[in-house]
Amino acid sequence: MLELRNVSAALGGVTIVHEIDLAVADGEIVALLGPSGSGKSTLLRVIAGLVPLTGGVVTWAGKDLAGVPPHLRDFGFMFQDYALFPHRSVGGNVGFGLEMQGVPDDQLASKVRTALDWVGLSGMEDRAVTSLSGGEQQRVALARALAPEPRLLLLDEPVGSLDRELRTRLIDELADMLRERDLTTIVVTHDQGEAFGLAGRVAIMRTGRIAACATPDNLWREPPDEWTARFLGMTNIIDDPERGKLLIRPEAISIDPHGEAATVDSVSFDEGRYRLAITTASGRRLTFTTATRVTAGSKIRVSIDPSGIVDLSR
Amino acid sequence: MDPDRRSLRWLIAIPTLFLAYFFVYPLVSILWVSLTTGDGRPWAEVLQTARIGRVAWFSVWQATASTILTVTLGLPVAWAFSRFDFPGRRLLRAAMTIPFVMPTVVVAAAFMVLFGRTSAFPLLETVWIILIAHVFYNLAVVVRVVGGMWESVDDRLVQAARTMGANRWKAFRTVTLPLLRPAIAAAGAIVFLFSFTSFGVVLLLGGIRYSTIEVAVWRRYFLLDLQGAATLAVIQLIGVTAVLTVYARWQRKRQTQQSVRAGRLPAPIGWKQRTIVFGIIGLALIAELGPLVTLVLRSFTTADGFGFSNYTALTAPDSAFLVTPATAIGNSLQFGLASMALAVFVGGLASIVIAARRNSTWFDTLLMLPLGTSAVTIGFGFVIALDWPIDLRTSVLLVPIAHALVAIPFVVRTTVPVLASIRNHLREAAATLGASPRQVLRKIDFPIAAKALAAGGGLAFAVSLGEFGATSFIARPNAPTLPVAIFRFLARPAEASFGKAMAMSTILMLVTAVVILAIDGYRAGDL
Repeated sequence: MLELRNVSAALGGVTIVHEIDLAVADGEIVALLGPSGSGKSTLLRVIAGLVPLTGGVVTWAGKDLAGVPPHLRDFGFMFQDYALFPHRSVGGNVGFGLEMQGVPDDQLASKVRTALDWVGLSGMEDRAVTSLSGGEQQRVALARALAPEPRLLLLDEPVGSLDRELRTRLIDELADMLRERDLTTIVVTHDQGEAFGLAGRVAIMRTGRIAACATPDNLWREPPDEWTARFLGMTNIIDDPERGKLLIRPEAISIDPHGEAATVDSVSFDEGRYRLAITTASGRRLTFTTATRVTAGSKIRVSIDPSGIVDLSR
Repeated sequence: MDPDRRSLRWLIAIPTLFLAYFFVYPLVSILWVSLTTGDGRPWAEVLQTARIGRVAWFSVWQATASTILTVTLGLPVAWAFSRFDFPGRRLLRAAMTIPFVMPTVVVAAAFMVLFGRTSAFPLLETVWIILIAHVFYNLAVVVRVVGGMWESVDDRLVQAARTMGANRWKAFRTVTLPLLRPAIAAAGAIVFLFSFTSFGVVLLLGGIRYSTIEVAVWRRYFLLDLQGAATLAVIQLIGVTAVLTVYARWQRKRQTQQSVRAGRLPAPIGWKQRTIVFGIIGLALIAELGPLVTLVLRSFTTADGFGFSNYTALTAPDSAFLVTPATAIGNSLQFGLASMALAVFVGGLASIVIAARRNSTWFDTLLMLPLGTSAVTIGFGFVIALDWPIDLRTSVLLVPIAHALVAIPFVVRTTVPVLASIRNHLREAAATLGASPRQVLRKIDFPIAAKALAAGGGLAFAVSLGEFGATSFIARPNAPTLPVAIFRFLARPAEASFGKAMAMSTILMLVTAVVILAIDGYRAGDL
């Protein structure tokens, strides 16, 4: 189990990570989700030992990791740009960690083969890494991080530099692979879909601090504050004179002939549903999606499910 | 790289001491000799005896003429190579660069055949042969430097000008030429410097009538006028520094970002365009490779027809030498290997330091200075300075040290960019995979830099094989190098000597070409 207590870190004299507390249980997959510059990658590098702490403690199984250099931590790290060694073949990259462990040559070859099988690149040992496509490079980087069987896997934007269609596919594969192996994993991403698709728990980072940390459904259902709700893409936030700041989750809004009158301001089509922006008779501007086809400018009636209203001013 | 900071201080010591003793100290000695009138002559007389005005004027005007000619003739060739794609383009362009890397004695030997007294154009000992040789030598600079930029000029800029009513010539003058100006200036500056400090070509082809400052230093030295030689060397150094300073300032001012051409180059279209493009390339290739081919053919021409007798004569003792010409070949190869080892060692250490600390300008400048200093100055500095604290002037090591000095900048230039380009992520990735800092150096930094270091070493070997300016001062009579031997044979009028000179020049040319092509192949394999 990995534990961070009160961890701070700085780059070039500027504090990037502020007093972070986070525990990751064995076999758990945690995502660090946040906009760029929120300190999530730096936090990952702190855990790997690549960036020194300026305060706090990082422990593994109760033992303080201060003074343990990166190469003795036995944590696998996958870099956003993959950082494949250009002077080594695919096999030479995947086998690097095993070589460092002193695994004898004959076993090394078979372990490299197995690792390449995991990521679907069987038989590509002798290919030059410079000849690979982006997706293949991503797989080699993953196989390289997995091959030495690290006790903790750290993934920095594992599919960040690929195109969208490939990203969705690789995230599904990655999720299966990690769960199958029960691998304790921390994954850094700026993409909500990736974080929710991969992780059992998501820590949302904002300017070097953890703004919220919960399971994906709890985060969605009960975002702790306005910033988190907006970061997750929920825009129906209203100032109620009696109850303060309220969030209306988009799925709580539906077209209802008995509901409040509203005007449709705009309509866009998104993944089989219509996304509507409306202004209600009481002057509230809301967005939600519906399967019903509606044209812009038309009058509709909507109702709001009270269970979908979250009080943000708690 | 932070933990290695302390060891960097040790790494920096070796190259610094090497350059301080073998480069800075001889230069200071030259300055000292030029200022102390040892034999009591007044300064004006020293300058007058050395005919400084005439020599300096000739150096400047022939360099200017050579530059104008080279750029004018080089531009069409650069255009043909950089605006069109055709099969074998890269290979032909590589072939074009061969003369540039040839030792001066080889070029001089080839020109003696082409323009000798009995040839169709007896231009020997005229200024024309000097200008032609400089164009021959430096055409590749224009083709490479200007062509490299021309290739990246965005077609759409010219197309935009054409849609606004500019004809072909106007579009070239108002769009293409201004974009190319920095590259033309860069190529021009290089050509000017090479021509200004030209040594072997002028010494061997110009006769006694023509003398650059470089040649004059050599002549004054062998007339035992040390002060005259030193003064000339200082004046040349000032001239070179002035040109480099003006050029650097000018370059800084006009650094502009430009849009870059996307996509592939077109093949020449239509018979007219094809005739022009291939005509230019054909003529350029004949001009650049013809003389070298002539040299090879001449080396097989003997009194009784075609044969190897010029080559077999190399193993026989010669009256002009204490050793056989073949021994000179052996000497050159040994010196070449020693220079290569020395240059790779010192240059490699220097590269690690430069790549690790980004802003150490004094160290960079110190390392690059030998490149801007003429070889004759280095050789001359060695003979007047290196008798203290111990007399090194008769040491076998002197020649390899001088050659290494000339070659170190090449090693640094090929190695630093590669070392600097190793992203820190690679080292971090290796660390997270269990590699200790020492293993990172051994498994990541070294293998990646090894190729560049080897290429730099190859260049050092080639430089050493062909080096003539410095060597002509310091080679011991019983251990001549190949270029020194060729020079002595060319200087003698006997037909047998000329034949041997041709054979040795051919050997030198072939070895140099093989080394350079091997390095090129190495680099191409990298991409």
